[in-house]
Amino acid sequence: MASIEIRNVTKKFGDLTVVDDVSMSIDDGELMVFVGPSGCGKSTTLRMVAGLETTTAGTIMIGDRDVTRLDPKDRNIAMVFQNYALYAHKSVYGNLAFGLRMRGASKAEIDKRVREAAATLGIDDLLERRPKQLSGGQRQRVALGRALVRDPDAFLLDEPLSNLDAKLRVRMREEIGSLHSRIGTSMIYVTHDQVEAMTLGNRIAVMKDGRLQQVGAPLEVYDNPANQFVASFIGSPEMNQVDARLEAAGSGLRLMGDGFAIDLSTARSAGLSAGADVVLGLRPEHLEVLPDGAEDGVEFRMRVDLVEPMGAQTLLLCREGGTSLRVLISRNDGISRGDRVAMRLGDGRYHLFDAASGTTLKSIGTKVI
Amino acid sequence: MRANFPKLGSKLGYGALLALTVIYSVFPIYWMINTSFREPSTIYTAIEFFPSAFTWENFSTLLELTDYPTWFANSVIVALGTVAVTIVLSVLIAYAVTRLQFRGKTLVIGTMLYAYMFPPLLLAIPLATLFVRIGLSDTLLSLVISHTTLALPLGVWLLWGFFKQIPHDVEEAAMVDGCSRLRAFVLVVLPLTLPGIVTVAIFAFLLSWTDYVFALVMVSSDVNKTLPVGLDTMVGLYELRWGELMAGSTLIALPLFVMFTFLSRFFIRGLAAGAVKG
Repeated sequence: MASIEIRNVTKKFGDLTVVDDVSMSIDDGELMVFVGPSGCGKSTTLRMVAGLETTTAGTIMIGDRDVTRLDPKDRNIAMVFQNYALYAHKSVYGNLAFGLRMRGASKAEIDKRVREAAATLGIDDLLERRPKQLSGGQRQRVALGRALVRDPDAFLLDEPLSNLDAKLRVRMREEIGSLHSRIGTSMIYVTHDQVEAMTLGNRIAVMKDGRLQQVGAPLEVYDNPANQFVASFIGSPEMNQVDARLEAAGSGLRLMGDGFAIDLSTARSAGLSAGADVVLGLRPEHLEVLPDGAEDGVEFRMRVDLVEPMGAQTLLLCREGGTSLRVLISRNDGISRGDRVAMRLGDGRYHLFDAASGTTLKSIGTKVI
Repeated sequence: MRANFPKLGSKLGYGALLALTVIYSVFPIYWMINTSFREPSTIYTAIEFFPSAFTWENFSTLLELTDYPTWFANSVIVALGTVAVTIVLSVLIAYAVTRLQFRGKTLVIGTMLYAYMFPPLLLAIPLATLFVRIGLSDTLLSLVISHTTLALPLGVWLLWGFFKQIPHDVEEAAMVDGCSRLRAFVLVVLPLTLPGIVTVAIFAFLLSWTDYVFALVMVSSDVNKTLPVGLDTMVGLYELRWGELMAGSTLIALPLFVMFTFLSRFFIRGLAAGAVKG
């Protein structure tokens, strides 16, 4: 086990910069998730940690070893690939044993560790099979087993669940989470799925266009996103973002937008100043639909354009003027298309971003007392 | 009942077509083997679909009167040499073309098969001139080089299809597991390419073993003749001794029969993969 440190790492392919001055440290035993859209540089960063890509600049440390120029085989890491990358010509046993054989382990040692890893992952009855005789979930377990058997300093997982169907993905996600808790080895997990990132990671690192946007605990990133991109990427359904302007209103401030006006109390507007063009960020689950006829505290009155029943919850698409909002509420069979609803910010939660730069001006992601 | 007639008719039609094709392909081979075991005196006097008297006489005469063992040994040396050089070169070239990025890569692969546009004789004459200049004329090595020139393009093209099929991840997984790039190539990539390698080996062997044109142009001394050219000399010397000729042909075909019996599975898989991956 070891910590991993990425210091000012940059990767260029010709003139194209795919990873731009990324720095972060992953604590010993921590599960760090790199998350971001396709092409954000998360997999390239992981591959640089693995030694499968060279760095253009920067340093990578595993424990107290500078591994920047070392070959993958000398880094003592294990990696799980997106398409499993199993050795099709070897049995499951051969796949699990391969890494140990390459490192010169004795036959008895190999056998002991292969059987232990297989038992941990519940694949001990598949050891004689070939990869093509396995289902997707079983192949994924073998790929995990191949990493597990080696007892490496760190596990690197590159979108390991993306080839599985939705149900199996959830199950394997839980298994990876519990596996990490049991073995306690540092892990870097790459995914474009923010749900996977939120549920698995001790911390998540959000990337975009090769740059690190924010690193933090999942709920910390959810509650206090560093910028408009992080705010929209983390959370499902996606955060509503509407243009607005801050204006003075008595002792406080008022947010004026197309079809709405929200008075911000002094507590809710501390640090903001009037006259700024902003983007108002509202999570669908943070909007509260008020009972019919409510007058006090109404901040939006909108027409329901679409009702999507999701079982325990109902997703509404509401419009007024040029503003449209997605609203996620507990199941409500009484609302239908064309109804007018009154809403307010639930527990006063909202986010404000600078309209020009997208950086966060204010984030009230938790309840204001 | 009436509806079954067309079905039965088409089945019979297919059957007849299949039987004709098999007869067309197999009968000459059967006739060759049949003739090689017949009494030499009966070959010109009667048409026999089954030898009336089974004899090894044609084989023994062939071995007594000709340099058959030398031709056979030459053919084996040239064919195995061609197979070895073709496999090594086509594996290396195909792997480089698959994994390395360089301008005109597709063009290199595309133009590989242009080698087969020309009749062999057109290539044989300039090659022979070249071998005379570098002192390789009338040697078995000149034949190995000539045959490799012909076998290599298809070998590269076929293996390129195989290497393309193997994800980089598999190689990278081996490197993370403790292999150098070369070791990952040998332990992981090559075994996965085995059907392709066997296909290339069979193709190269077949091409070399049955070649007549290059052997005729490149080799002049009796001691360096290969089987097809050696047998050809019998036609002139003994005025069409069909029995010995067919015995010699049967012996030429024998290694191919054995090879195809054991390796046809790989050959079909290899050709199919190459065909769809191109």
